[in-house]
Amino acid sequence: MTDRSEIISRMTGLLYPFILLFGFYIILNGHASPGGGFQGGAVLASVFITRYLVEPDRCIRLKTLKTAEKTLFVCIILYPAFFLFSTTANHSELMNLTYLVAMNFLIGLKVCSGFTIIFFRFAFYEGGI
Amino acid sequence: MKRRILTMLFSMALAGLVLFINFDANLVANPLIADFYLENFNADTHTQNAVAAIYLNYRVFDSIFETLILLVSVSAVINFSWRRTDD
Amino acid sequence: MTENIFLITLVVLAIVALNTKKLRRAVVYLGAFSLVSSFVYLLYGAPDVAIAEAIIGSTITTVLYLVALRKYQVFSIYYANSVGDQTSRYLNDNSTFLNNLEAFLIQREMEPQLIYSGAPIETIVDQEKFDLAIHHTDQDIWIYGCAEDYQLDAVEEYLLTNYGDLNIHLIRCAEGEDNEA
Repeated sequence: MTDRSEIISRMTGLLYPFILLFGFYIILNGHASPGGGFQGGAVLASVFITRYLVEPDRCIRLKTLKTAEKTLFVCIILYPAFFLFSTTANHSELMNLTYLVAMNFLIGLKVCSGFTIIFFRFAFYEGGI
Repeated sequence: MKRRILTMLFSMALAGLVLFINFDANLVANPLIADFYLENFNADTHTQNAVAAIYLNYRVFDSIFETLILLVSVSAVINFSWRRTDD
Repeated sequence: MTENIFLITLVVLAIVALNTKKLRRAVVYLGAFSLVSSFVYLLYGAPDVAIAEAIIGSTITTVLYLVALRKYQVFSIYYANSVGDQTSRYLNDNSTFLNNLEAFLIQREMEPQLIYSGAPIETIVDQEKFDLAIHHTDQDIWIYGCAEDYQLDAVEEYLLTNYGDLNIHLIRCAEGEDNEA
């Protein structure tokens, strides 16, 4: 993308906060309305991908994202294991809602980092340029 | 040209077969488990969205292994990249 | 009834995407296909799947395909300019020649990237990663290409029809270890 157009970069710069807000809305409201972690995480990843279209040369720190993804995966396994599968846990309404929102949030962040890593690997580390 | 005609005939026959099977089958699956979920999801998990109740509570292994698949594919992409620099 | 109209639209979009000549248009048709299919999911009462299909299918895959096409199409041409002092006449000849070659490659939806190099042609062929390497002596023009590159056939046909009077030798080297990873 050597000859990027001014219009696209300005408009995506204007649209960033709205896309971010929409992604977090989909994630955090996933237990009450259609949506959820996977879809919201994909929206958040599309923010990073449009950032590549605006500024293709500014590199992103993939190593942090990789460690974040692994840590989030361990959390995603551990939280249901301690909450759902134990008989002694407190299954009140508040605890259930906390569990749903937190799991949606974890899944959303993990999917976002995964898609971002895949895209930037393809963009920067692949091909002949 | 002959290969094209053969491929077209094959795909037509396949489409006819799929349509023929589709006309016989009833589209609604066994309603017992669906009825159970729809009646009890609010009392069990206190959500308003039945889909969230299913993928985060009843079938939580599904979402765990989905995220595992994403993790494995990310590692595969990193491993098979062109430039082998490990950043 | 409405579903049926959109399902027929899906089939039409899929056939159109398969039968277009240019890959970029096929990518755009695939994006439209995903959008219509997400609308069909919405009509069948599955808004979660519709959101996922709309985001994955028509945003992320489209951008990924377009970036991949962009990366794939850069065509690097090395021009070995080793005969330094007596090149004024040939440089003029060769610049129109190179311009026409670049125009031909642009017409085939590629992006030619011309690299002038002072190194001798043997080191370029051995060490660099090139799609075409051009080298000329007093009478002849030598063009090196990769044997497995299917674009080379089109280049050869173009050169034979337009520049049949020049002495052009096209050499297909085997794919070395450095050329491809």
